[in-house]
Amino acid sequence: MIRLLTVLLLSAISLGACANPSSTQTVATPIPYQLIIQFRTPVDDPPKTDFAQQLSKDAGATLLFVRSLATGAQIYSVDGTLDRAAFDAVLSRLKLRHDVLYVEEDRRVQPAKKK
Amino acid sequence: MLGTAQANSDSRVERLIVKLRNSAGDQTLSTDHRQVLEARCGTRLTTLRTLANGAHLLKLPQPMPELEAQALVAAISTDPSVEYAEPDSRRYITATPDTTEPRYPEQWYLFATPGGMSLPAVWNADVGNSSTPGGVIVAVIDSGYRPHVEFAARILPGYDFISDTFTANDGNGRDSSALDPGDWVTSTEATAHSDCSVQDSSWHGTFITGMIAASADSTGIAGINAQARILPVRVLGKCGGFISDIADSMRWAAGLPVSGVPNNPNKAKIINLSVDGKGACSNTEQAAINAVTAAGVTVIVAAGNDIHDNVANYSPANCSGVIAVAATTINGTLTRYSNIGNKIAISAPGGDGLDEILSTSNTGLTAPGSDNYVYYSGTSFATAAVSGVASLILSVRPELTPADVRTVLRTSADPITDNACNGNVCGAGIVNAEAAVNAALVYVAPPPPAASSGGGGGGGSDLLSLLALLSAGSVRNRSARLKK
Repeated sequence: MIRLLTVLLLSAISLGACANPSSTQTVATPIPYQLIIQFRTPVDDPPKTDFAQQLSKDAGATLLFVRSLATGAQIYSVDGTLDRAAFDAVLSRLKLRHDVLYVEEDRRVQPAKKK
Repeated sequence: MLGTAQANSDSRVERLIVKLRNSAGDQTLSTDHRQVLEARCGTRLTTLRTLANGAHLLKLPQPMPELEAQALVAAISTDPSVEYAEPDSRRYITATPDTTEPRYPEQWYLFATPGGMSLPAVWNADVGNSSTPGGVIVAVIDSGYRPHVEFAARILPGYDFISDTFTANDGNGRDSSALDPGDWVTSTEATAHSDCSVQDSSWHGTFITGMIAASADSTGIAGINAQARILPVRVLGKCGGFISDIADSMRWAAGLPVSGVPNNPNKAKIINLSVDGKGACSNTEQAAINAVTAAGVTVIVAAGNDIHDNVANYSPANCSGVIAVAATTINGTLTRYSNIGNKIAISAPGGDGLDEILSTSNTGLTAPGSDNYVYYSGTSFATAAVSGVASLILSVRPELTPADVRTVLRTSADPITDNACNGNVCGAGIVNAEAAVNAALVYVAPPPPAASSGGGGGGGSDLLSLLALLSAGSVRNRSARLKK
């Protein structure tokens, strides 16, 4: 009986170790939307507080500076609770700023491996 | 296989490379200066073109033995205006019998007719002598790598460009380790992120790397170019990767500076980018592609796997200046999943159904385990196939530009007989390694256009170069073709 219980216990451990990752319990960390802004003239890296505050105000959402790209364009993250439509609206509002050459989503791409 | 110094006793030199002091860019050699060099060596020289580093390529009046050419080089080098002079040696592909790899018979994409790429003919070919140590550097911008025994010795120091810690899954942002910690996604994580689904670790970058560069060592599989060196650049992790990280990583791979990252001393000649995302080509992607192609780096990208959807809807395949690759089957037909469209430059084996692509992987479902081999399919792997062949092209003609490489690949491709490809939606055809190397050997670059038409790598250039090829003689009938 003890041997049987041991075998069952070991089997359970083994199954757990080989389980599909879908069963793994991890705390989810939402990836916030990110956007890339190329300004017409160089902007401080990181931007000054008042500049960043005005940018957020114009965007209608809190933008957090992430880093600059090699081109000088800047990446900002947006509040992760925004839905897609709200994020698109942020992009549209930023395009209205005269100092923005372009603004676009820092889109995610996937490996082109067939699922 | 490629690139080791090995001269044929009967090899002949047809051209010389002469670099003048203080020369750079595309300055042409003046007639006066050419005559000075002719006086030094006592031989008539014809200016062919200026190389990317400012050196001049000069044609000899007739092919001559290596020793005789070395004497001319020595004479030219005595001129104080000359920084260096050397024969423009042909590259040599040694006869490495990769067909002895135990799992080679499963690698139909290398040899099958009509769906394979005619690799054995290249492996067993002699195309002249080489003076270039080391193999062509291919940047695999992907999920990183596991140090698989098939290629670990030829991995160059890479970089992890993933700036987001969740995506990176290695506890930090950017760092100097391109090792792949795994990209598994749990159900909890998949729920929390759009466009992300539950998966085991893919070891995608390791798979791509093995296809391109697995060793000729009589174990495991054969790589397309067993001398290629791999620059691993990590941009994909959990739920894919950001285009901002990819853009920076491309510049780094091409030897261009990226703020906050040490410079890359091992500039790649090819960037393999087996990724796709729905949307227009972003400014960010296009700017990076423009910068690296201007730096002489060929960018090869996947068409995407959205069941014959128009590739124009997927980036980076819809960006200008890339070589976008669709996927074909063992029968040489279009796969059921590949995207298509007029932006496709070429097709290559990507596997479908029971006939998938075999390459290197890892046993780990989440964190890394040990080396193994698995089968996958997708335009990712058609892309790797083209990158491997492009590395063979550049091993025999390292001076070719990205536009030249594109032209050589396209003009040497096998036609696709599949109605699904009607309307020029599968590119120029299926990549053929033997024909591509043959075409590279006789390729004559077209003269630069009088005015820039922008975009780079367009079809007009292909036509010009095809005419140049034809004027140089039939590719398949040239004496310079691969000698088997």
